[in-house]
Amino acid sequence: MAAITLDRVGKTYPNGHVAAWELCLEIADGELVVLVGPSGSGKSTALRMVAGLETPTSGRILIGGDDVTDTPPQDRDLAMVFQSYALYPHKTVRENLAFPLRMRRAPRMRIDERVAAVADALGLRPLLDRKPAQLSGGQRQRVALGRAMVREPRAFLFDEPLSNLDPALRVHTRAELALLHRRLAATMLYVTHDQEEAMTLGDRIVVMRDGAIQQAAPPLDVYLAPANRFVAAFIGSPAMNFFDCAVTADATGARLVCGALGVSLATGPDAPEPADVPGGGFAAQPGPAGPVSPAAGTAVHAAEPADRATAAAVAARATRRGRVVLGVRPHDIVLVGEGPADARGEVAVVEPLGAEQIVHVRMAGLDETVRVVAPAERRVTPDEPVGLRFRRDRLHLFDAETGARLEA
Amino acid sequence: MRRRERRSGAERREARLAWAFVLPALGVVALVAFVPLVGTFWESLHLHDLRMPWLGRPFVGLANYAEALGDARFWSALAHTAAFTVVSVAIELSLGLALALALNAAYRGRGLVRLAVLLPWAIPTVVCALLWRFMFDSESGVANAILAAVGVVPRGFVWFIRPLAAWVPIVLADVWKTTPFVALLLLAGLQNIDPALYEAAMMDGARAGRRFTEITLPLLQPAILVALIFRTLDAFRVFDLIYVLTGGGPGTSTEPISLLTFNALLQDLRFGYGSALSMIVFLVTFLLALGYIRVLGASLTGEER
Amino acid sequence: MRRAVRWVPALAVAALVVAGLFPIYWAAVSSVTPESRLFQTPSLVPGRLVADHYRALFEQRNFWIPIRNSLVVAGATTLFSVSVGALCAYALARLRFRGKPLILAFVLAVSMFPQIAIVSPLFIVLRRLHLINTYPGLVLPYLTFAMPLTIWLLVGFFRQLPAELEEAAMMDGAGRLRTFREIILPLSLPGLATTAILTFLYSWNEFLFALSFTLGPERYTVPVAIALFRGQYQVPWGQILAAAVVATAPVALLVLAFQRRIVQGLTAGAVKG
Repeated sequence: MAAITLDRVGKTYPNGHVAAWELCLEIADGELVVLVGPSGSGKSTALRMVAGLETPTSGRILIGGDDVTDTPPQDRDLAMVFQSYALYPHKTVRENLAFPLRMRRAPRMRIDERVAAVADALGLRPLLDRKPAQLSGGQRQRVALGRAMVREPRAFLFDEPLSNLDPALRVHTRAELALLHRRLAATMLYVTHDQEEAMTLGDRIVVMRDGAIQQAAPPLDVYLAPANRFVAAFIGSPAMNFFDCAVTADATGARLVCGALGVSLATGPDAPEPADVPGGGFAAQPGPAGPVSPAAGTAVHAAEPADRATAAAVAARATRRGRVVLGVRPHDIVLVGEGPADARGEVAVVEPLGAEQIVHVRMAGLDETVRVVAPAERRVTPDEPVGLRFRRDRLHLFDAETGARLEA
Repeated sequence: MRRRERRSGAERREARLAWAFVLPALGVVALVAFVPLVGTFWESLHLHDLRMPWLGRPFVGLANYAEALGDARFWSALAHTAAFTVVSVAIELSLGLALALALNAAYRGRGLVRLAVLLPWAIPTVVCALLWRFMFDSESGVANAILAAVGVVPRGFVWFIRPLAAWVPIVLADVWKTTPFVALLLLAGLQNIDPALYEAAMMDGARAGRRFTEITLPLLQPAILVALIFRTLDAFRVFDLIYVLTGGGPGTSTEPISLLTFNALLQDLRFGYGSALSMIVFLVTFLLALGYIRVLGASLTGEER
Repeated sequence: MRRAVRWVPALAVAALVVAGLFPIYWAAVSSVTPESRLFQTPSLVPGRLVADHYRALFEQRNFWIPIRNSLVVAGATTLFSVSVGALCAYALARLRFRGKPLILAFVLAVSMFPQIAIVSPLFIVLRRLHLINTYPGLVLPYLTFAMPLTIWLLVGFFRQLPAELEEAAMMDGAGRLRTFREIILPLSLPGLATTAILTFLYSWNEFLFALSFTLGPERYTVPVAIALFRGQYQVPWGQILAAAVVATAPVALLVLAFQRRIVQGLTAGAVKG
């Protein structure tokens, strides 16, 4: 096993299209890093450059400290699982598994031994003499995995290996892959467009867009502190709500207003302590400015102590800019009936998911509805007026122009 | 944004391997096809008569071309070729389209149909010419017997001594041999059209006629174009068929340009003059082919990722 | 109305089958009809069948010789152009290098050459090399149409193979050559076979070059031998038709055996556009 380093790796096609831009990434020995992004984000290009199937036009790629930028794929000693599995259709499962070893001139004995071991580990023994065409999708996937595992490569590469499986099998195989990673303690680079797969599998996830890395961090960090508006929208389901707010200074700090929404961010250390609110331990009480008018929403203090300093700094900066984008995840919003709320609106659509439900709330002055995840027991009916309360420690602020996360 | 072009070692290796793969074949093609073409051009600028070696091989410039352009036999050969091309290709395309539509609609007897389509295409043109010569033979010809029985021609009608009538078996033979091929190409094109389109058009209220003009024809257009150009180029260099069927006769009334060229080269052994004729054939074909590459080449050669 | 519509295609197809097969049937029947009866009023059903014409064809005319010549020339042409063309086609289909579109256009252009345009210099060169009336003297000219044909067909076949298979082989440690041998070749056997069949057919049927570059019956190919069959005083139709049947037989067998493949190969290039 070996570490992989991407050092300012770029790929520009002759037609001028930039598929990868100055990628810098260190993948530690034994780490599982997931590249995630929408199609065309350059994640596959990045993986294929590590594999040697594409050649970067700038930068270096190091595997185990060796510069392999110009090394052909067959000499990089990596194993790869393809989206289509790429099983050799004219070879049996046994021959498919033996192929990588045969190419490296392993002795016959060792080939047989390794093929048997892998076949046992993956439950492929009864299928060894079949051709790929005679296998089910899941079986093919396991053969592809087996072909990668049969030797000990310096790292494993996965190119959307689960996308051709049906949903149930995908979840099952995902868990198996996580287990496999723990057992092999192998360096793995994994590409997927599925943010859920990325969150569950990765030691670290790398979010990409337009050929550039947006954020590289452990899954929870990406979820809790997305580096920019794109990452915030891409990671997490249902997607985060965004409000393009005007910022004004008020008595205790800053106040964000967007149509029927109004949020006050307190800067003073004397801001009131949070009271208990069902569904999240955060404060919600009328701000010092008091309810201005129901239509303009109700101001609430940002009052989580740990966040106070941050909020203060952010608010101060945001005030100077005049506009800021507020992001709130659907899970961090609580539906309230009467009483103080950060925003008010009517229920547009309810999508029950079983354990919970997604409530779309229409708000005056907003084109898009606001997504709220509510417990299944909460009864909501269309057109019912509701109030929204945002969990204070989970507010995200982004620069209105650049989309970058605003932090102290 | 600065664009950095770097040819990496991997790319250079791959390009080297590619050239190693490509060059032998390309070298052979250049050697046996391209170099001779230059040779033909060079030859066409000389007086070179193998029957009169004592004349040597003096350079005569464009005299051979001038002779060809001033020769009535050349112009009539060119006219024969053009007329044959237009007539036979027109018949083959319309008949082929009808057949393709019929084949697309019919479900039974696919195997037999494929055989009936492939056999005429696959047999040597020489054999095809002989079959039709035999069928139109004045005494024993079955076609002659049938046509006489129906009253189209008198009993014992001799096709091959009449300048116009001699064309009939030629065109028929060509149509017989190549229409199935055209039908095959067009059928493949038809089968490429998504049946859901017809269902959608039906739901939108289009009747059969409109479905043909609004969906079939436009979507079949590329296939029709390929067939058209393939056939045009092929018909324009017609040689085997006429050489065997009529030998260009009676007289030179069915002589196409390629037969005229062949005779100038290998019967009269006038290599300079024959080469000039060759170049003219080449130029005409080249212009036709240029159209082909312009219309289709882009889509055929440029379909890389 | 609806019934009529349904019958039209069926009738057209029936007509096609009859029209396509009848001349061949007629030649086959006539080739086993005694010479004396050939010139009576034709009848559809053969009367007495004889093998006279075939006996004469092989015993008097030694028709084995043109068959052997054709087999050697067409076989050698096919073997050479498919093996050399396969490498070239693979590079054109899969490897990345500059000038690919140009090469493809060049190959396409050569495939559209009128053969007559290069007869004169080929004749002169072959004569100088003393290759007139020899097998190599036919195989070389045949490559002018066989090479472009094989390259063009094989590029199409190779492009159909999923690229991921090759990438997988490379990740598994196989180099380009190894990948070509272990993965590409076995998988493209059907395509290679189709290409070989079509190349063989074209070479077997070729007439102009064979007529131009052979001088005597000992090197005539089958088409040339048949075309120059004219008897001294009258046309020996019986023998000609017997020869026609013999010349068609291998072709017909190939077509029978590989119908589906041939149709695929023929239409592959055309449909894409």
